Amino acid sequence: MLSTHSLTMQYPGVKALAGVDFDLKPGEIHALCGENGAGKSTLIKILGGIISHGEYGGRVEFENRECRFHGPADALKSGIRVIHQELALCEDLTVAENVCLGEEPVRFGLLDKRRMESEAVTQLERLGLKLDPRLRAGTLPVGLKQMVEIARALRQRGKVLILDEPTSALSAREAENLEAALRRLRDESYALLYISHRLDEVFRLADRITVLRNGESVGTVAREEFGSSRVVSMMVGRKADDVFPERTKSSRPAECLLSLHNWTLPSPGNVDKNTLENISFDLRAGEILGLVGLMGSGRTELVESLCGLSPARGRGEIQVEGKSYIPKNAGDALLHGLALLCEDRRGHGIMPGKSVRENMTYSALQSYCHTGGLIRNDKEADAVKNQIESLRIKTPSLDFPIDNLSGGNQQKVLIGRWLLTRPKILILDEPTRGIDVGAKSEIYRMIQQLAADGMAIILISSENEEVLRLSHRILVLRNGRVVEERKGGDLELEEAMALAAGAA
Amino acid sequence: MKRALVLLIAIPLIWVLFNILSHGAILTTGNMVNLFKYMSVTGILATGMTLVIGAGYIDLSVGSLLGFLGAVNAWLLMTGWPLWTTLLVGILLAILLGSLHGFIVAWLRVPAFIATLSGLLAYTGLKQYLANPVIPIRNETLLRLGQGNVYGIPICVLVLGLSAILCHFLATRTKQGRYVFALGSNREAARYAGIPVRGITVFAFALMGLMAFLAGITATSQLMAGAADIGDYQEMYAIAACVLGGASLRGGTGNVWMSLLGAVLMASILNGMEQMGIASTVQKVILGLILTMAVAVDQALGIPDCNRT
Repeated sequence: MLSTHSLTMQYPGVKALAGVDFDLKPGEIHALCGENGAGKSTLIKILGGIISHGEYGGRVEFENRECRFHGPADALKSGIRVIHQELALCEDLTVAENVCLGEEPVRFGLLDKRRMESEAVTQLERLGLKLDPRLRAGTLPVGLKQMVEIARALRQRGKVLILDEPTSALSAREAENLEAALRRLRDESYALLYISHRLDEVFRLADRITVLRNGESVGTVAREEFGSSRVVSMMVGRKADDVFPERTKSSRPAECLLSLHNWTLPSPGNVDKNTLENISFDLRAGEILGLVGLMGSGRTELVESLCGLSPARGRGEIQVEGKSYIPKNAGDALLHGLALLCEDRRGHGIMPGKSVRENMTYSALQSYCHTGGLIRNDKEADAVKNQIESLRIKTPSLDFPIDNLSGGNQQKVLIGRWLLTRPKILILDEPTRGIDVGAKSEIYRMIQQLAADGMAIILISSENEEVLRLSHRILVLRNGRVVEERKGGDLELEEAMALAAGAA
Repeated sequence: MKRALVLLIAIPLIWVLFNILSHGAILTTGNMVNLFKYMSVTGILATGMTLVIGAGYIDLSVGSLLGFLGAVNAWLLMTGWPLWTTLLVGILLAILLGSLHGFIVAWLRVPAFIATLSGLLAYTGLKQYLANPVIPIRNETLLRLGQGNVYGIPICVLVLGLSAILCHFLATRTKQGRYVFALGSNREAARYAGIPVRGITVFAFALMGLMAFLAGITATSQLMAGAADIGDYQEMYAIAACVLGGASLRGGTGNVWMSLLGAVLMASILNGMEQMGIASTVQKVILGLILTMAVAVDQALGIPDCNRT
């Protein structure tokens, strides 16, 4: 139905695609896998018309005719709809208005509100969803926003739906709903192209997998031939038998660095409800403490409140190295030795347009300054070079803009930013989100090394396997409370999921 | 840098073009000195404005603020204060008012556009009150600032050079300058990185206030008086200069020297039209067209984002 033939794409200085052949059939879910920089996004941009015909080499065929898209509108007209990682909803419009956006039903030249709403409901029902069409889109959680976008695509009678990392921001339950919706669409003989870094999900969902590596299609595997190690080794081009390193021991009874006693955080705008309730735990030097929980369980809110980033003021007692500590702001948290790698890399992490060097030293800049604020360039450059080397960051130079790096390398720069502040407690919120297998493995090893050197680490990840495999101790959070505490190794994946969801 | 090259080629071309059109009135020593004297006020503002815009804000008040500060200075001199005390008071007042803008933006969370628009209105009223009737300046030392030369270079152009050096140094070599542009690049990320967002906001506006003071005494000295219309529209010219120099109004980018080139470009066009005898009313229309065209060309030639994943 949709196919590409020796597709190539050359960016200044980089070959993004070097001959990609692949085809998409109606009634299948086709997954596209590959490490960061393998060319997945570029391929999608070509299919979706964002990269115009003539800018790339090779051919794209749709229903046996060559496509010459000049802009996303052309692709849409042919029935190819791309749903990007960053959702494109009008937050101030209602669900119905968003579903009908661009092709609103009209009556006597005026918008037909009732038909708009009924059509929205129809499309959402096809996805197995009951949702009030009069809700403002901006108030919905990410998972539902995504559904609204898919509903819009359905109403436009697309034949091909391309989803770029649709689940990267979803909770486990939301992801399940999405999967169910996608299966329904497959059965309605839509062609679905699906990109994800979560391999377990890909294996569950996909009928075929095409693997890209360094801009080439390495091969396409059908459902019967799936095997985690096979696909992974196709992706990285080497045997990646152990992505996860062996669990280290947090030996010796070490000094307690952080201790929370009945930490409670009121939810913003609602005095009667608490985002966090009576959280108590100790964190020792050299320990990796994992937090397991669904989205909205309070994991992120907990660590952000520790660094003074929450809008609300917490109650309860926190001690850092035995001394009472009241979180004020991120700068103050740094002075106390707390560093937070936040989950939203684009929104709260990188400074786009700024160099690798600047991005890495924003938080520790004072240590490379004379009193008064004059920056000591050579000292700063040395520190950055050291981090680039030890974190194995791939960048052409120190002054390369960070937004031109791959996701994994951007993440490493941010990790470098926090390591330069020499934290005693390093909090990692989704450190491996949206980054490739190779970089993940490196980050796991780095986490273990830091802990072995005496740093205390709090680890949060939506990929529960990460937390379970790396942590010395695990807290399960649900609705802002700690519902379970286990030693690392004593908690299995299924049980953790059940505890987090409240089904155990 | 590509843009620098374009400007460095465009400016002499404009001079030559207008020189032909005006039968040789542009490329004379006298006219060139005038051109740079004329642009020094806009230029001083543009150096500070580069940091304000770089931080993702805007300051609409600086034109009327410079007029107000100039008028205050002239008035204090008239009442018999010695020069150095009037300057000291002026500097303190300028930094105070700039910091006030920063405070309103950072703590009261009033958008910079609104906060400084209010400033524009307030200082316009104040300067019209103070400088009515016009306050003549008779202090010889202060008059040298606008009128005098050192080794043939007008002193006001030297002041412009010094403020550019100061702002460029702050922007590129200091922690505070780094933070300023970090704010403009991604304010939330700056907060998460532990950057004192509010303090840096005040810093940027306070520096802008100081620059408005320098521009203010320069302008009053050039005109030898504190007058009610001094500084009118200067904030717009300063913003235009930054934009011509490549600063994005969304923040995060900007270079002091480039903004200065932007100011020279604008002054050259105005000067050329003046020498051709084009009416000042028409000049403004043409300048508006040129500004929009420059940015449009920029957008058309700009390399589109190619964020790969």
